[in-house]
Amino acid sequence: MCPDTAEQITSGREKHGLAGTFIADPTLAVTDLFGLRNLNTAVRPSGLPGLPIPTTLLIDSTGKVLWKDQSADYMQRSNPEYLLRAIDQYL
Amino acid sequence: MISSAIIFAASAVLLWVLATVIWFKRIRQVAIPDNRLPFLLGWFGAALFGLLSFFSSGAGWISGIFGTIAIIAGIAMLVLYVLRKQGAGETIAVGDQIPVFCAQDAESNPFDSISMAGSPILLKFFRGHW
Repeated sequence: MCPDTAEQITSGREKHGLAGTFIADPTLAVTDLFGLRNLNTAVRPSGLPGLPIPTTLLIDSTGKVLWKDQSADYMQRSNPEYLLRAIDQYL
Repeated sequence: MISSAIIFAASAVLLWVLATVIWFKRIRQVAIPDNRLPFLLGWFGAALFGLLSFFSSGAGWISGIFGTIAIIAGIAMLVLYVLRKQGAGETIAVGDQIPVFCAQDAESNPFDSISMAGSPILLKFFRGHW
């Protein structure tokens, strides 16, 4: 899920060789449903209504959030091993 | 003979370029170190050296241009660093049920969150804009 358009996502996905289902949210409507819009709008690319806070959610088969990873600092991201450990633990 | 003003201005620009190139390289690698003092010192030093170039012997228009660039660029990176914090209102939490939503996938096909029901999923919110 990201604020890029479908065309931008396709381009970025090919560029970085990414797999998985990508969902476009250029208006941040879905991001707002999850309450994940970054309210600190001091730094954002031009032409976008805003940015989501990078967040990872593990969700069970009933739609309940089992695990959440989020940072208050956009420069810090979880490394993949941290996420893989959470998947092992919760799914 | 290279004046001290030129040396200060050139050092300021080089310091800024070095700190900034390494910084963005680490960001791309998702490997920003916990100790960010060297980067902050690099940008502060660039601005300081840029300023010193104005008050050194041999100050002229060449050192002035590079000194000004270093001051502005150094302060800009320090300001960006200060503004890095993110904030949200009431966000989804562990134990919450995810909201039902409709959107488009990367192929511009409709995507309904109901289609995710019945199996566990990993949902990532990206900043995008690659």
